[in-house]
Amino acid sequence: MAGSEPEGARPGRSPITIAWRRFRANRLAVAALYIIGLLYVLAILAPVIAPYDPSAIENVLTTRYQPPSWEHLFGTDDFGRDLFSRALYGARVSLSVGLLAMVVAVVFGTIYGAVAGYFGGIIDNLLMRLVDVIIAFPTFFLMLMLVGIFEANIVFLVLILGLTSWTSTARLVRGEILSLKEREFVEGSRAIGLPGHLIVLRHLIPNALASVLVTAALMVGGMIGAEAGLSFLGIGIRPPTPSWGNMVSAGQDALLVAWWIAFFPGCLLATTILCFNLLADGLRDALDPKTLTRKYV
Amino acid sequence: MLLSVENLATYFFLDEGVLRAVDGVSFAVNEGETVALVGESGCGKTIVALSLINLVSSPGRIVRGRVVFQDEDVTQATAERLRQIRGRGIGMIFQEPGAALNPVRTVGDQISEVLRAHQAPTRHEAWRTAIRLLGDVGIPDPERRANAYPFEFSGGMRQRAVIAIAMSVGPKLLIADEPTTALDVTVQAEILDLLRSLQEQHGMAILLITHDLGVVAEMARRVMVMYTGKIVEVAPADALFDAPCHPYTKGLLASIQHLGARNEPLEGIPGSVPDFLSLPSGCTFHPRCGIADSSCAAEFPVLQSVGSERTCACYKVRSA
Repeated sequence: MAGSEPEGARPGRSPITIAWRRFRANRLAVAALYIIGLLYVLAILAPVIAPYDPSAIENVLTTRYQPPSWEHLFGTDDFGRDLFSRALYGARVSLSVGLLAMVVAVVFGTIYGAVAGYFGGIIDNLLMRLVDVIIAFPTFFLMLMLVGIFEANIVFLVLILGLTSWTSTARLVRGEILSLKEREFVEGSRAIGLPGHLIVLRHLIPNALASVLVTAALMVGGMIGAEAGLSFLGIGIRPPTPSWGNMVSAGQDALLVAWWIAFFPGCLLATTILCFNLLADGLRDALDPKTLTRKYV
Repeated sequence: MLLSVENLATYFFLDEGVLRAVDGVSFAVNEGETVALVGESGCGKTIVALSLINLVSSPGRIVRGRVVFQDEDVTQATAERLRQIRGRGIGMIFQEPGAALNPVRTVGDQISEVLRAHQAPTRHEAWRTAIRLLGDVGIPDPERRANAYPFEFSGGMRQRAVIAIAMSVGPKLLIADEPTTALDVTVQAEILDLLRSLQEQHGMAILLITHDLGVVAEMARRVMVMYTGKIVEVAPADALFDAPCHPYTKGLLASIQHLGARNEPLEGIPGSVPDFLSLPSGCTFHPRCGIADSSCAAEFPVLQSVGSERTCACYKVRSA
């Protein structure tokens, strides 16, 4: 790659292509991306891969608390269920909740921030003071309360997590838009008579997308952690539907006699969150032109 | 008459006070002619340009006057009508061609977008037109270049692309705000040539805003000189260069470095452009003027006729 031809020598090399080439140079981030990809593939293929029914309970007394073996890769739990199968199905819940909640937060936050930043003035003021109010709310207790009132299912969790964490994206996007709209090409777009919605959609948001992408990657890790936290406390995804969070929770009582029950889902959680953080790091380095020089100094 | 500006005033309402960036400016532009608006940086030239398409943003505001473009007052136009005038009626090109293009989208995409916002071509038609426009402004291999991003263009090519965007929907008036200031001298000449040939083909009028009197001499038939938000002299270009009337214009001309005149010291204008928030009383140029006396501090001179097609805002010159 290096030394073949200078960057930008050939037309049609988009900023995305260039960012991708720089991202690929970061081995750790690429590895993280592959691991995340693998986890999602496994989650999607769970029904095909899982060797056992994740909730089947048979002959509890003979099958319970079996340590990891070739028959049960992650061992079995106190009901004799195969933990590898449960971890695969749990991945579906944890990974989809994390990703979808991020999408909700990022889409809502981006639109909100873009509106505030583009219109500015009193609209900006009102919208941002509302964000201040929402941030002042202790999110975790709000979640606890809402989950206590309503039945928690996946859709509900996605909405709760998404709608309590869009504020940081909104602030970020607003800031980006505020500085972008003073740029000459935006004034130029207005001077040539482009309608406002096109200016926001085609000129402002695409230029703010780089930093949104970085927070989005960071956010997925946070969301997966938050879902696990809620499920661990027994107010997120409820058993028998497996999620990594409630699997760790189920294993904590038996930690001394059957360490594997909490250990494997715990490892999966930690790995996933770590990988998303590494991915976000890699994206930031790839998208921020200033880091290019740093690497070679 | 294509454009007539009547007593235009655009003020900025700052915490420190009211900044009178454009204060009572009147002029006209005829179809197909090239008029230059010259003055030092920060004299209000760009604000005049932005006012013409009603694009001054807060805390600035047009407080007085009319901008009549093709019998329609731009300052009173609805938002949708204004959007049509911008682009189709009046196009604008900017000083920094690098900054005037969106860095994350291809050049062809940005031209077709403007076409689609004003007319209703299909995506394919717009793209074909964009390629033709890039060819018209002298970009080699436009088919391939349409797919390029602005950072893959040189400064001169970017300015050509910006001109292609401004010309895309056929404006009757092209405002060129310092179109060559950020470019190399050789590229400057190419861009000016391009503007002239586009004008011959399409017959649009050009309002050339610049501080570069060399550019003015090459391009404009008529010149307006601006100082602290007011027009102080209007004259045909030849007459202005031969015999400037206003002391400020004389100063400007005296500060040009002539090639081959290496040992002559540049004269320049004593002092510096005054702070807009605390302008001198009367004629704002009087503290820097060689011929001013106490009467100059009393009131700002009105533009008076001083010959055929010439006006000048200086009492001392007229009485002399």
